[in-house]
Amino acid sequence: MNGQAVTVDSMRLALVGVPNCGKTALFNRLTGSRQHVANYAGVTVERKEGSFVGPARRRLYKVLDLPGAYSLTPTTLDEAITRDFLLGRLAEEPPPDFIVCVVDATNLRLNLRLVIELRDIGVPMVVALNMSDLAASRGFQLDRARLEAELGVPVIETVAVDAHGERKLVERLESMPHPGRRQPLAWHDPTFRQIQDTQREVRRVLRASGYVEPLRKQALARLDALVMHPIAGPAILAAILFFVFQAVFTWAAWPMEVIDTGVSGLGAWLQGTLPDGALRSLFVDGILAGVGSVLIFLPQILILFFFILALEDSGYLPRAAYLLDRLMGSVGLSGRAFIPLLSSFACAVPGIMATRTIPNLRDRLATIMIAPLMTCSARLPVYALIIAAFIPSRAVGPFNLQGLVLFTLYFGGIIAAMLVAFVLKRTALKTAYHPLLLELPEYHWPHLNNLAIGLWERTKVFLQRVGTIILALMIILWFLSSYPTPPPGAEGPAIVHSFAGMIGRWLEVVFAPIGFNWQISLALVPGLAAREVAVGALGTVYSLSNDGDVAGTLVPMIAQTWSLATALSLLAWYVFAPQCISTLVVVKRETNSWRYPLAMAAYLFALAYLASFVTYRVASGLLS
Amino acid sequence: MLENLLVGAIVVAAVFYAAWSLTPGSARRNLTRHLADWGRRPGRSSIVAHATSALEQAAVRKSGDCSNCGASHAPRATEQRRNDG
Repeated sequence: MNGQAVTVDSMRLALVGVPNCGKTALFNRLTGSRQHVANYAGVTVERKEGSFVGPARRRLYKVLDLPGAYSLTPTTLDEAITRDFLLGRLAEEPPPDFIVCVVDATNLRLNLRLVIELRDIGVPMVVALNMSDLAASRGFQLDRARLEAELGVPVIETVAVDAHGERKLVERLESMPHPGRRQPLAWHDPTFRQIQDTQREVRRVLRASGYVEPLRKQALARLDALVMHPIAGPAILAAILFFVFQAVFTWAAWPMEVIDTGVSGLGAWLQGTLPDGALRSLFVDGILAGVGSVLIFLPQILILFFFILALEDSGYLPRAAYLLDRLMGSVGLSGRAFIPLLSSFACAVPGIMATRTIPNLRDRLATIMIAPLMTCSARLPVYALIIAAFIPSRAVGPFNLQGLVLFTLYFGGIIAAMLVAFVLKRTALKTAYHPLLLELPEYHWPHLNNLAIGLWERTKVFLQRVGTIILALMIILWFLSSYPTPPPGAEGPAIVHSFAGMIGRWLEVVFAPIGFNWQISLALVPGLAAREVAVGALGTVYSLSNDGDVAGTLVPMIAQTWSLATALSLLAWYVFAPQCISTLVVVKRETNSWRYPLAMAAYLFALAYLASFVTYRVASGLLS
Repeated sequence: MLENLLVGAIVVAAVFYAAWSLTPGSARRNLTRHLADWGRRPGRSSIVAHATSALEQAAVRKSGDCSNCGASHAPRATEQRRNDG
């Protein structure tokens, strides 16, 4: 939409709408912005501005994409910012000249309250009836001209996801003279009775506009009745999760073998090609052993994300939120905590940032404090390594034992988070329970395109991490593990005499009571940068400990070296493992205080140590 | 000798990269701003000025370990809706 001509006329447009109405897509369509369009909480919290030049008048439109809001009575920071911006209450932000209120044509019942409230503040406005194509194809009926007449503002059909889907809107904007700057009328938060009146007005307008919603397919209604059933629902959810973790192990076996063979082959080739010396050791024992140990887990991470994406795209995830709300409410957590906690399964960083949508500060802090207990994808390589080394791949009834153990570890993280929340909400962060109200989207088959793009993005992120920070840390660890060289006549592998060996033995004093040897103790340190680095560190350390051995054989090496009690202790450690540095930094940024990240690090370290200690002692006792 | 120099250079580059990536963004930006100010002082060569200015630019961009996590896929669900009407 951007033109080259210099313009003198300019208009400040505000894009307003409820969350998920396609506002950001329309913003991108209008301004040509390359901003990523996503639905998860937090994406429209920041101020977003773009511009375009109208094709007819050559008018410059400055467009502001405001955070999603359901009404002008805010319950979140996002909604408060939108209201204050529209009413000109924000410092250094004049109110808009014009409002484009984007509404979802498939959900007008929910969207029209905001339209009516915006109309009442007196700023000139046009309503963009977005997703109008989808509404028509689903059988929604609406007389647009009648709606326009009832509301008293122009109503334009748009399809933000289609090329030229914004054309009619731009034509309408171009056909209007500049409304001039107008101060919004005074606004007071409505009383309950006034809100009820507005809802009545919404229903009247819809009736008068001939609005008819299609009947829901009977099969979908039956499916929902089953999926949301108080007993069958949780059982189905557990079965789905069970299946996912089974698939993570069984489906990933052959691609992992291919990567393992490739890494081992490359290691053998380098071993044979490069002359004996520091450079060969750096490549084979440092880079290949370390990076290869992490790379091998890519198939498992992708399989896990394939299911998460498919469940999300199918419309099942909000139903899972509904099913889990009772559990969350029983420990005092807000229902709004579900989305941040779900995000934390990918990584705690976006999960913690997503807590901005929780209006109550104490609820938000409680969610932030437990977010690292959700098993992030960086922990999967650690779990997978230990499970592959110590848990036999045999059937337990219809299930694979390795998958069962992985499921238990993920479940353990959730239970731990609930217990911590229970304690926090009854002590330091006490608040009343806020019920969860969810909009449930319709079921549909996952789009293959979305799945492919999501998996490709995940692959890129993983390979980028492997090729940058993990690679750098492996090189540093190799250096620390190789120097200083052992004195003449020294016995044992050279690594024992290195800096890493010394550091490992100091740390071993702290971790010996929980069954960790010096190699594990050492691997925990770079694991603070990113948890999967611990696996790479073990690869490097064990490769250097096994004089001359080829990379890619970490699983049998630890299976021979560690006891089962040690392996279980390390698994317990990683259920609670103190989070990576990035998480601590984000917590500091989000809470504006060092108190919370420090408290979080301290309580997670204490829990991890205690869990590992109990696991190690009990397992040692039983196994001896 | 050459092999040791090469290995040394790789290790130094890795240390620099890891330190850069793991330093909090605000500290990185402060440090590079001071460096760029120093590089722009009269008498400094244009190469130094360019290098310190490039570092300052790079510090503004996201880098490192988990800073790309926001871009990674996080499962989403439709946002919660309030129904007080």
